[in-house]
Amino acid sequence: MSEFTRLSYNPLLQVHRSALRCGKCGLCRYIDNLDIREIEYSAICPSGERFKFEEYYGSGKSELVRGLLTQLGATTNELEINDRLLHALYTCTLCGGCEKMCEALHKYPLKSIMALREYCVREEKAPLPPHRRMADSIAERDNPLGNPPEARAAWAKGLRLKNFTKDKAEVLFFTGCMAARPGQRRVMQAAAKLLKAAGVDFGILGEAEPCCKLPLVRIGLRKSFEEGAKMVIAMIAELGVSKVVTTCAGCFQTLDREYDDLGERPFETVHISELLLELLDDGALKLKKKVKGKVAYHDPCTLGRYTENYQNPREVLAQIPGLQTVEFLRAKGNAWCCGAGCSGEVAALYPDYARETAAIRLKEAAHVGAKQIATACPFCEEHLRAAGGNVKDLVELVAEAL
Amino acid sequence: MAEKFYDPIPERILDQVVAELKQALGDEWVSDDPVTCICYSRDQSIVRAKKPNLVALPAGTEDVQKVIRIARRFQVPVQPYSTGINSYGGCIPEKAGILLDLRRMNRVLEVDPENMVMRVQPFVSFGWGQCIGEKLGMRLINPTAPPTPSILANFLDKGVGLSSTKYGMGPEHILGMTIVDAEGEIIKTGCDAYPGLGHVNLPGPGPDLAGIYEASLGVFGVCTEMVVQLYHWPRHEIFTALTSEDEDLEGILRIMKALVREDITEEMFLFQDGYFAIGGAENNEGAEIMRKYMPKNSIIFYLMGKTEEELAIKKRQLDRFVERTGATYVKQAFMDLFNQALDARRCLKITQQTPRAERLRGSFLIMWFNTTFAELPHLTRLYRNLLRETVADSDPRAAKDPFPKESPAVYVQPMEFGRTIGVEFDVFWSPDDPESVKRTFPVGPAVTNLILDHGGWYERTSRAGILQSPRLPVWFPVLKEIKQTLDPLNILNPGRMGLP
Repeated sequence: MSEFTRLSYNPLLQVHRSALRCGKCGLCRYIDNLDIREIEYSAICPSGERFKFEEYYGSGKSELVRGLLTQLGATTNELEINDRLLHALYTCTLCGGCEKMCEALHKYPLKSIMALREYCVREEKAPLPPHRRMADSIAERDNPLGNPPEARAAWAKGLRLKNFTKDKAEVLFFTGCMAARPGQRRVMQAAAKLLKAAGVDFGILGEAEPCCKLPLVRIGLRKSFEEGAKMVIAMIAELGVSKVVTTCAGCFQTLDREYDDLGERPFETVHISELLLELLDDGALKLKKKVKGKVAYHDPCTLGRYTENYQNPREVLAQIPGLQTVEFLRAKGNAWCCGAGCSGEVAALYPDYARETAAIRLKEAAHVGAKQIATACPFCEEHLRAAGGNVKDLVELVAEAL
Repeated sequence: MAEKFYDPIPERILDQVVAELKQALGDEWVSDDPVTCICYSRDQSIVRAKKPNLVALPAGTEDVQKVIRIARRFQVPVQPYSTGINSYGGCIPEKAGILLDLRRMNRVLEVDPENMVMRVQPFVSFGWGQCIGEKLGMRLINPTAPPTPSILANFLDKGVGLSSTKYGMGPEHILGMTIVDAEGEIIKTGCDAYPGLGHVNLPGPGPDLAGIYEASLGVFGVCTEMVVQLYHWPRHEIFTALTSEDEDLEGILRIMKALVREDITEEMFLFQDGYFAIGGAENNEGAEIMRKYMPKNSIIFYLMGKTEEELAIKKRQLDRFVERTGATYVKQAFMDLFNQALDARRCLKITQQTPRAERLRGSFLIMWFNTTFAELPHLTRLYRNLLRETVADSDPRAAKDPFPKESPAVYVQPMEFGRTIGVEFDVFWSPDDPESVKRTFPVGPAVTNLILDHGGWYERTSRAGILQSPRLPVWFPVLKEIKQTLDPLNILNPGRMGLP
């Protein structure tokens, strides 16, 4: 018997009441209807929009919870986990759009989806092979993407940054696992440049930095996530820092929210957009160079809907001299997901579908006249760029203006 | 009428149906997987869940024809399904078979601002329609529902909206339809039946066949296109409400009847205090607080005008009306609160009242019927007594409920200049509480019989309407004959409206 089946609770029981309450109003299919400007850009659910059948929407997931639960009691609608269910479940990018749009409240479709994933793990029908590889990679290398620990610090080579393995600093710059990817080096370097320029006393963990463990909870490995998260909290607490800053929207959401109820955190977590805004407002950072461009800011799901950080990145972009900004037709709480999944877990499983989802966002960018997309999440940035977009992280644009 | 379709469908037949449908529509658009079927087994109502045998997603009218022809050949029932939003079980298949999910048919095929119409497919929602209309300075007459229902299905099902007092119910906004009948042939009605004439509101040709498709849940044919009326959207508005000093319904209904005959309001409805609070508050706790300060009964309405002068004239007329009748304006503070959550743009464009009402206990049983101003107070008293006996609130949550049992949820809308009123009796229930489900399930038929016994009628042949069919000794047999003639195999949505 695997460790997962030793879980002492049925995750579906945590959500069955809210699942039963779904009234099938269909709001989870669309952005806020008052904000619809063009019909073509009104959908909010990537999997529903692509695959159409009801099981791909938040409302359909409520029925799946009900169908799986009746195995425990009344058997009018027995359901088993099969390939179709797994497909409907794991094409969901967990963007949170359905939960955001649920006007009736108390229905929590996103929680139902998370519970369904935990349940599939519990029943040993998941993790699916690519997700199993991500989980194993986290266990072996503290990185879901297969990158070795030394790759995590490669971006900092020659920058002479403080390293917490031997130095002390007030602020931990938590880079996240994507820092190990060559494509993200310039983002990390830009962030470090900005923090230095503003006189922030910061350090990094380098090779010793752990994964925040977000991919585990998204895959459905809640127990493993909680165990790993507690170790991360303890590790950061030991550093004695009062603040953790990160460029990764997923790490921010994890450290700031997902870690709730997992123990005391004697540190505050901020996304770099919030810190940059503070530094700009205080005058610690001055942007003098003009940056030419017309950008649309893409709200990452974990920074946007999950934590409601819509305004900070926009205000930062607004302070870049010369930079024009336009809004997507689906912005802020209405934002269309890039399709990667917040830890790349959807792109790992269904790359074609993930790419199609990204392409929709790129088309929207062109429609609103943006020449470039700015974002604040490494997964969004890489995924949209891989789909053919001209994309930059927020910190790169700010660093260009220094 | 003998049932001609397979019930249940033998597996060998089903396998052949699935194979042929996949060939006709593409593998991707047909599923008989239990995972798919269970997701179509419920709607907003309290009706028990039932699954179809399979779900098929056609891309257009031609695909619908193919599906129906295949269904006919194999004697398998077909149920059309647009957005899946229904408060009385209309989306739950009665007899399994093929659930014809029309959501791929999601295009606005034509917009004709000159003639103020648009042509829509089944999955085009009111939210979409209003988005298009707004750009033209026009609007649809939206139902008192979220923005997500199908325009086509709602209008066909005699959908009622806040503007129905002035503009009528769903069928009044239909100019033409394309219907696929039980043989897979196409029938066109209204303006679509007159090629080359354009978008004119002409019933017929000759005897108007369109009526047979209204409120019939697709039992005579599947509507795949509809030409709908757009209306001007006056840009100047006053949102206000009247109440009467006495808190009983008689007084406020007298005012309402007189007001509708002034013919100055754009929308009009009567909300009780709880409903008013739900619309204005952000959550249950807020609604509970607001309700304590709300008038017991309010007639809420909009005055609108294309110009400020027009609006001013209507306001003066309203002021004179208030003086004459002794009505009282609801305090502006309440209107401001309500307006913040439900302003004219939002109310006319969409209304979120239904999902907000679901916040109370999870769901609510909607019983919409017609009666007269004279009958309603007595009916409401009987209804209140019935609720006390059937859904007595032992639920501790009821203490915080903006709708305690002694204040039944009643919504009223005058129709046809007050000749009749549309009334909604609601019962709030919790789908996640087996006790609540058990207590609420018999309430629908009990209230329905109460209504039918005391001067009320249902204009839709929904589940409640089935109970009234035996009381129509001539009408109902004729309906059965028509069904037998148009669909002898009885494959189109069997089991509806009291038909076999």
